[in-house]
Amino acid sequence: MLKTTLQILLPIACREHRMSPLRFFACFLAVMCISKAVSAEPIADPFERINRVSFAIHQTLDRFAMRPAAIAYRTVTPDFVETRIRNIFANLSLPAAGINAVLQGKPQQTLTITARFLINTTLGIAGMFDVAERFGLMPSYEDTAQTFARAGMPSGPYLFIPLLGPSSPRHLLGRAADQFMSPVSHLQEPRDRNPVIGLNLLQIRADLVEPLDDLTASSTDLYASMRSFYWQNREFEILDGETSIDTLPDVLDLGD
Amino acid sequence: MIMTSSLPPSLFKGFSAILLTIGIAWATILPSAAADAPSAEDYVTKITQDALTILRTHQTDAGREEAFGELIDRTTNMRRIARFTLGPVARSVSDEELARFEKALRNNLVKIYANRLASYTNERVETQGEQKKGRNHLVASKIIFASERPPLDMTWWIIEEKDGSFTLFDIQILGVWMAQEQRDIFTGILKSNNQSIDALIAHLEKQPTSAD
Repeated sequence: MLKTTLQILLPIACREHRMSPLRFFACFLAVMCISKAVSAEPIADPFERINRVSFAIHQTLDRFAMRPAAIAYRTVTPDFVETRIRNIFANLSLPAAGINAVLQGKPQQTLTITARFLINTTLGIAGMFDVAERFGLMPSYEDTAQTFARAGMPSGPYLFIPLLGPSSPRHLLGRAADQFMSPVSHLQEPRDRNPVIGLNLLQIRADLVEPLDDLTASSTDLYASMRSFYWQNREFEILDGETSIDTLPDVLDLGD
Repeated sequence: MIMTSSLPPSLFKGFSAILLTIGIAWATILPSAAADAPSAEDYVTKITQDALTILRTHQTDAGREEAFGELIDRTTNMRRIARFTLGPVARSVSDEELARFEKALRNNLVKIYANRLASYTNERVETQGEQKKGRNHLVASKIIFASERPPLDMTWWIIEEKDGSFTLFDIQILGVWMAQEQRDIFTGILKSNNQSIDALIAHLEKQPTSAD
C-alpha cells in the first residue's frame, strides 16, 4: 500500500513542487527502487473478436507480402551478412535498454549494457561484431514497458495490431518510448530512416520463417497460441526471467 | 533474463527460440554428474537420452512416432496434463470423456513433436541443478546450440508421484510453459463451443499434425 501510494504521489509531488528534471529523475529512481515486487497478470482479452479480425488481416499480409519478402531477402543475403545486420540492430537497442536498466534500479545491468554498447560500437565496428561477449559481458535487455510494469502500471487488455503483432496498451506505450530513444528514429530524413527500419523488420521476419511455419502447422488455434506465447514471455521478461517453484499452480491432485 | 543476443527482444524472438528449443530439448542432453540416488535431474537426463536414441534409430515418421509415443507414455502422467489443459471443465466431464480427450491430446502431442524433432541432432542440453518443494521439482537446463547461437535456458517441471516415481509435467522455454499454452488454446475452443469437450476432441483429431 505504501509502495503504491508513493508510486502515484511522488512524481506528482515532484511536478507540483517544480523540481528540476534531474531531481525529478532522482525521485523517479527512488520509486523504481521500491518497485521490486511484480506479480504476473492473467491474460485479459476483452476485444478478442476485434483482435481476431486484426490477426486475420495480419496473417493475410504476412502470407502474401511479409513472408515472401523475408524468404527472398534470406535467399540473396549471406548468413555472415545477416548476422552482422542482427548485431547492428541489437546494438542500436542498447541505449534504450541502458536507460531502462537505470530507471529500474539495476546498477550492474546498467553497467553491463553501457559497456556492451561502448565496446561493440567501437571495437565491434558499429555493432557488427559482438566483441563485448568475449569480455564476459553477456547480452542483457530491459525495455520501457518492463519499466512501466515494475512501476506498477497494469498491462491493460491484450491487443493484436496488424503488422505490429501482439501487444497491450502498456507495451505500445513502451514501444513508442523505445522508438524515441532509438538512434534510428533520430535520422532526420525519412528516406534515410525508413529503409533502416524496414531492414530491421525484414531481418526479424526472416529469422522466423521456420518457427512460424511450424507453429502455424501444429497449433490447434494459432491466434490463441500466439497470445499465450506473447503473454507468458512478456511476464517472464518483466520478472527478469526468474522461475520460482513457489509460484507453480497446484496440479498434484490432477494426476490421481 | 534470457536473451538471444542477436535479435531485438520481442515476441517473435521468443517464438524462434521456443520452437527450436522444444525440439532440441527432446533430442539430446549432456549427462549430468552421476549420483547415487536418482534425482529429478537424473530423470531429465534419462528422458533426453532416450529421445536421442529414438531419433538416431528410427528413420521413418511412423517408427519415430511409435517410439516417441512409448516414451511419452512412460515419462508423463497424461491424465494430469489432460486435466490441467482442460481447466475448470475437467471437473464436469465424465471419466469416459476425459479418457477420450486424454487419448486425442496424447496422439496430437506425439505427432507434433516426433516429426518436428527429426532434424535436431547436433545440439546438446546440460542440466544445471534443481529446485524442490514438496513433490514438485524444477530442473534447470541449458540448450547448447551447434551454431554460434547463444545458449538458452530451459526449465523442466518434474513431479514426484505418490509411489516415488517421477513424471514430466511441463517444459518452460523463454518463460513459456507448454501445458499452459495448450490450456489457453483449449479454453478458447471450449468457450466458443459451449464448453463441449466433444468439439475440442474433434478439433484435436482433425488437426493436421503430421510433418509429412
